[in-house]
Amino acid sequence: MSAPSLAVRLAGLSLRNPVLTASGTSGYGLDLLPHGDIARLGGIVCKSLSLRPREGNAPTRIAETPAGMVNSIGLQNIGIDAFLGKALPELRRHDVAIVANIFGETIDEFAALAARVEGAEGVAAIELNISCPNTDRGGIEFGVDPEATSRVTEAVKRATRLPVIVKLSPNVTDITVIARAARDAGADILSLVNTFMGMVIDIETRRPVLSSGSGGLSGPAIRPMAVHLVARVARSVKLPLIGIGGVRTGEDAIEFLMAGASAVEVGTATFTEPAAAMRVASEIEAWCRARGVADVKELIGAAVRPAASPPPGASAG
Amino acid sequence: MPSDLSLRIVSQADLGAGHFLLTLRPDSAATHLPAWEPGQFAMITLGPAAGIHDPLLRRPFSIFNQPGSADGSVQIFYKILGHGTGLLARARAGDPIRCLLPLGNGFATEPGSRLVLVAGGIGSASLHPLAIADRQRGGTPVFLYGCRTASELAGVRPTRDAGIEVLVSTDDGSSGHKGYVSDLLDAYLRRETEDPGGLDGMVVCACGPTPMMKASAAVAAHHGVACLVSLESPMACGFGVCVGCVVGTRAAAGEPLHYRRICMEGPVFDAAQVVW
Repeated sequence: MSAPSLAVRLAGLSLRNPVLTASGTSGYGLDLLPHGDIARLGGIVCKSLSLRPREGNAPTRIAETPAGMVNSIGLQNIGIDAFLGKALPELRRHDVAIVANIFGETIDEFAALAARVEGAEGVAAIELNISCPNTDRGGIEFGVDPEATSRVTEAVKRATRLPVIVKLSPNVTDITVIARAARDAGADILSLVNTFMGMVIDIETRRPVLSSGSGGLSGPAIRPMAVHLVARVARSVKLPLIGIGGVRTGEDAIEFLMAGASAVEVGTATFTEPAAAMRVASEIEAWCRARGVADVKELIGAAVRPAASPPPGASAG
Repeated sequence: MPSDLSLRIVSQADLGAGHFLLTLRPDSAATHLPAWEPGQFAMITLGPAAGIHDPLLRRPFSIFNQPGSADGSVQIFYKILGHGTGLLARARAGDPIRCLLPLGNGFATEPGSRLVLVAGGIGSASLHPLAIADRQRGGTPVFLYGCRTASELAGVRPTRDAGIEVLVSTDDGSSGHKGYVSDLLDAYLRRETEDPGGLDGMVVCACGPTPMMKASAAVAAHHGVACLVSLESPMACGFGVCVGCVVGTRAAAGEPLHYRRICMEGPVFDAAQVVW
């Protein structure tokens, strides 16, 4: 058969294939260049950007866990000026969609960042990291509060015409409440999930391993939970979704597509293998080809739709 | 520029007290090993990419041998310290190893420097190749080695076998000086101070447990001798993107603190800039 079609379109964001890098796992995309052709990816999501550079947290920042890791980097980043002035001009020489992930401590900071990105050439979409403390609200994370999620999404939408992706935290009682708040405020796309909060304790020193105490759990360990949450949101909110959480292979990515995501972000896998995201894209293509799937879009939501007919190979019983 | 290569275990020599010398070679004759410098490291994992969940992350190891060896191998000298190294020690000849190398910056010492190498425990793995390279350049490196007890001298056996003279300290006095290797460093530098210009061109290079490096750096600073340290940290990626392996540094006293990545800006740092 001819090559399967891998292109997907999420609101105003067109991707060559449904694989992006996850924020904070490939820097500003440039660190992947020695390891493969980033033009084989659907997109690059840059490390979270703030108005000013940030030094991040004191070490120890990471700890390995069964099939995963916890991290508390503290959003160390070069700041929006260095991104727009140095990293972006280099990155946009490559034929790949660039998503700027931004975070602020206030709604005004989010809006100011979105306005800066809006004026830059070469950014295809903005992803909001709302898993950060809102200093206007006593440090409660934006992403656990439907009203704060709504207000920050509205403010960013007013500041930019670019597609806005709201990245959801899984550390909430009901993720669909936050998802609907983002949708109602004008979000174009939802990405989910950010890391699950976790803690590792050194039982010899009787102290948490991470200097900040707790951190975010990522990696294959969270994949079934993330697939579950994507399926829940897919049933609840009719917005394009990007699935995130432990994707390491093409098969993993296809699970997220079947749960209702139109694309995936590959994160921790890149740490263990610099070319992981490129490999995942190739594996999706090979899987589709081997099964005669002509268009990857056929897979999106397959597992959350009512079964109209028995899947191939199943008994009609 | 690092390459992510498929290698296989040629041999795994048990040198005693939990120390192993692993020899790896490319899977395919078409694969060329890149060159590397003493002090650079590799991130390795058992098996093919994307296959292993335990451990999930690769582990950083100093590259032990000199680049361009006739047999085209990469050697890793390691000690079983935890779960990952425990699994590695059970691997056998023929097993696949995925290896990202070379990573980080090696020991950038000026030609003609007089090297005093201070190793604690398995810290010898990063200083051994520097000693060998220095001797090849005509230097006569001084190698000081500290460990807890005589049986752990397995950690310096390859260095001694290569004909490098090693001065030893043990915490319990079961071999060599009783005490810390930083004491040996202090005694050595004191002796050299007795000659006018005795410390000229001298560079201390240290690798080992953090308290040992900190103490060695303090001794070097006390004598006004330059000191490089090769740092270690939990590390997820090894090529700069996770930003998990940072160390606090200051360009000079009173300057602002910056977190720098051990994998990219290190692992070798000027000890005077490290915030211990």
